[in-house]
Amino acid sequence: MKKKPVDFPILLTTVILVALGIVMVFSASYYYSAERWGDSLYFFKRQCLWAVIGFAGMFVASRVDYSRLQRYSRIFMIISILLLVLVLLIGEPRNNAKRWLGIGSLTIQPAEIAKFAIIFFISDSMARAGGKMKRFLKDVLPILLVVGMVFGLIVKQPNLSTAGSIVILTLVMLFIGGLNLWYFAGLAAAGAVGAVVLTVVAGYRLDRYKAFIDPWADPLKSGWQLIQSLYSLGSGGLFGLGLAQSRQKYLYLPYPETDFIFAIIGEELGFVGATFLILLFLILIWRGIRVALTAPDLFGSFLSAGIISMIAIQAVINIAVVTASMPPTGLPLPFISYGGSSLAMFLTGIGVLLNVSRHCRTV
Amino acid sequence: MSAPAVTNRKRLLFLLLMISLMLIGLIVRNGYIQLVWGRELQEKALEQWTRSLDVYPQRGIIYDRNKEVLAQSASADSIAVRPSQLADAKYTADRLAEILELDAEELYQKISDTSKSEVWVKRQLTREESVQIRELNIKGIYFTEEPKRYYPNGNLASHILGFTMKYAEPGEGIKGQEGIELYYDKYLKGWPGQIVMETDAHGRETPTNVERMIPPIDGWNVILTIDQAIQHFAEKAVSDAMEQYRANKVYCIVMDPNTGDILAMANRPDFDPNDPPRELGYEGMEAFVKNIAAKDNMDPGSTFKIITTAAALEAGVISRNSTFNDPGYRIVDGQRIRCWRAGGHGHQNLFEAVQNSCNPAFMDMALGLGTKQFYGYLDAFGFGSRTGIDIYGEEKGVVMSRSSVKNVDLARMGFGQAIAVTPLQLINAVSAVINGGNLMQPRLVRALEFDDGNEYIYEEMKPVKLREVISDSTSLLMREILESVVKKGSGKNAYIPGYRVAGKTGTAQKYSPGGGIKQGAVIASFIGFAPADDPQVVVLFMVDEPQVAVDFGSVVAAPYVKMILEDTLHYLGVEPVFDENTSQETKSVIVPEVTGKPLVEAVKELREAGLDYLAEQTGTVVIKQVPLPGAEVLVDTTVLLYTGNEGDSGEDPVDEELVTVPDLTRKSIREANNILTSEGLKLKIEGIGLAVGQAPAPGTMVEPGTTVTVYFETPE
Repeated sequence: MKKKPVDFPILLTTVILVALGIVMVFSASYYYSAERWGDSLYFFKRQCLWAVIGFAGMFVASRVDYSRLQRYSRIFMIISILLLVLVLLIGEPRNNAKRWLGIGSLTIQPAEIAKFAIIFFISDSMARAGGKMKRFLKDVLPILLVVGMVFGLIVKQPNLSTAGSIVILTLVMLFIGGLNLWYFAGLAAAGAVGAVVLTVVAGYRLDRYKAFIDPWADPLKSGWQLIQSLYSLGSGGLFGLGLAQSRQKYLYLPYPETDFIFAIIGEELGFVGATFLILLFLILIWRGIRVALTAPDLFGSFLSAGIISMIAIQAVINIAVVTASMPPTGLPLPFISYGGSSLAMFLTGIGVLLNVSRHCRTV
Repeated sequence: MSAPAVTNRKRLLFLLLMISLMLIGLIVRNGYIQLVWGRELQEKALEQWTRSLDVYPQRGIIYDRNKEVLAQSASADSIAVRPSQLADAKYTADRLAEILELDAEELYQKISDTSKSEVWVKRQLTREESVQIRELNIKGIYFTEEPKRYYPNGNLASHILGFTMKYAEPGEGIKGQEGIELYYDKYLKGWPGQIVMETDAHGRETPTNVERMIPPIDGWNVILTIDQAIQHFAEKAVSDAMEQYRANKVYCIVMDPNTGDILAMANRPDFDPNDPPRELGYEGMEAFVKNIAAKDNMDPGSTFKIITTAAALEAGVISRNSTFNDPGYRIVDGQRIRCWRAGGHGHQNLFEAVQNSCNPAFMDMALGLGTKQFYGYLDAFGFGSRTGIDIYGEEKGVVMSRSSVKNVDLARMGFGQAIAVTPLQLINAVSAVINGGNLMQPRLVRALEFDDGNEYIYEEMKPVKLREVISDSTSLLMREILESVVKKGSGKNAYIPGYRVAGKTGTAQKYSPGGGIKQGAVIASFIGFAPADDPQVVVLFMVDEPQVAVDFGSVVAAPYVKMILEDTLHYLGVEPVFDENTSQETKSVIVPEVTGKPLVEAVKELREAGLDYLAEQTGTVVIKQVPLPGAEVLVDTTVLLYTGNEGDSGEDPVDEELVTVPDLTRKSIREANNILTSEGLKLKIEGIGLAVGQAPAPGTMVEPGTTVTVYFETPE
């Protein structure tokens, strides 16, 4: 079969997103960075390095025929689970959580790898089931067990946000895979109940929820982050204060280079810049779904759908949190937020998506 | 392998729809936050980004009528520490404690409390302390200029000037609490400015910070009607009287009868406005700080007879040729009211009656006027109501209600009993009697002045004539009568050779709190003016409870009025005239040049020349003299000597050493302000940002107080 060129809009959108991300990471972090590390370029340099690694991963992934990867899906899953176990044993603790494994001077998050292992694993399983998912025990249960194990390991770190996003990802993929809608409704309900239980059990999560309902009830503590995020966005107005002109990054807004980078974008580039960013995501998602729709086989279709769903889930949740549209939870904004593993894995994922696009039927 | 089935494709499209809806929903939500809610959020954000420092204006100067400084502001630095910005609180505490002589441990506790954004360490540093701390150059220490009020003449005119108090919060400046400081506070205080700077969440300036300064507007200067020299004469007189007679209180007002200008106003007890006696508590302090000349109601006694006479003449009840018979008493409403002189004065004409201060004569006048007319004149002369002078809390006097007045009361009022007045009301009414008949509104301020170096405004206050009370001819006759009192009557002690002095004595009984007459306690008073044919100055002098057993008004008060009038007339350049109206010629002498000479030597020279002297301020060298050298004055004239120390210039007793203009290049507005202030220079700001140029250039030698214009530009 003669291969087509890659889907150009996906490539272009991705490059623009990464470039924007690097600029914004620099702008958002340089003050805090100088303060914390004595080097205003600390985050910027690392993000650049990871972008290079990510683009290399993307290039390689786009060149390797995805169908040849299918057979490694389960091994990939097993390796990723082992890494999750390893991080609990020898991980670097930061902020009371063991999420990172150090490799030389760089650190990786096994949970980021696990996301993609899950996408491969579920795509493979569902493709084998022929896109029907009729038999609960044979088709659905193995997936639930594996996902359950991964979920448990990530919660143990603890990192409920990432674990939660994997649950949502699984539900979305099962939905695409043709799961009976009653089963789907049951699983979604179970997930919702689980989320409520976990929120109530851990007091700090309940506080976050209360802070979401009324950030000004406790403006200096639990409400601080949301209020500062709103101040950033509000200060931006239509056209923003201008690149590098954020005031909120002067230690007012916590995590300006990671979870709350969207707020700094809103402050510096205004409503126009923020909307442009959301539209870039919309284009990317649309092109990604299009790849899934026109993929030559079920594995390719599910793989594409999984990758693009992961991006969509994180983008929606991250922006919803920053705009105080949902209770706060820490998920990075794909391609934009500072964070090497996340950036590299998403870029590699885009590489896979591009590879699938080369095999697509012409619509 | 098969391509995605229909179900999968439908569900993918459904997924795309859902994600798109969510993202569009987020665009709308974000649009609401950024565009609709944004303004409110931005305002709150702005509040947290900026910190503003108040910059206090210079309080206006209070001058006397010749622009001699009576009260002025200087500023002293106060320091505050921002605990969150200190690199080493222990080191900072130790150094500061050393320089400021504070307890290092206590200070450390204070400045290491990072829950406070700012901690005040010490207010009003001395210049040396300030310089030493600036040299430490520790980040996190902030200087604020705090104004301090100085009254260079100490107690002089303390009741007029009043005093100021500091606000509870340092850096908020000072406000007037009494006197002119209070009455004109809104002009004197000026309008504060602000330095606004952007800070990070820990209160540190951000790298993009551009300081903005809204400069303060200095207060208006107040130019009083008071003449410092005349005030000195009055102060000297009340001090002497207080001491000589061990009196309760002494009052003195010197006024220009034609304009209502108060030229001097001195009372005892008094206080030093630099350090008002706050330790005495409100009540205790009141005894010293109250301007009793405007706030005490008292029986006027015989000086009030001037008013009765003027009213009776004006109403036509009596005339120049009227005669009175005094058997030693009058029986009014069945009550026997005695003259002060046992046996009475017998048959007298009007002039004699006033010279003798004969009570029955004034009873006749008051009764002749009747309640209606008499009260008409009381009102017209301003008794029972405030004069409207610029003093808060002025008293109105006490006048019986018209309806309850009986003849016996009316008769007593005629010679100055059964009525209470303030010294100010009395002198103001007498001024109207002698100035041609016009009641003026007495005043302490002749002009307000604004001067910030760029703009000059001078607002002159015009004298206010309230009403015409008596005719010019009655006034003329009154002057003649009162001059005769000094020439021939009870006022002889006020007589000054070469001048036509007029006046009237007074001795008022005092009442004990129960209402009865307080035995042996009187208020001795004298009101005098000169020249009698064209009054320039009127002086009221009252001594409360002098410890002497003599004819009070004439002995106790008149000599002081004479002293003040004599000095004042010489000072004002009113030449003595020796003709049939004044006495024999008195020797006149030339004032020698004593400026620049040691005080001891100057005194000796003046004595040899036959002159008296009065030395003001405590220095060893004469820096100024009044009258000036070469003036021809009468023997015994008082020469006022202003003294200072070796090296002081005559023009300004303040240290006039030149200072070097510092280099301000690349300094922020606040830094520039601090540097210039520490050198005693003033800042004028052009533009915002960092300093790029200045005039005069760095290194130039200038006088302290010079304004340095600094040009600021926002860095690229």
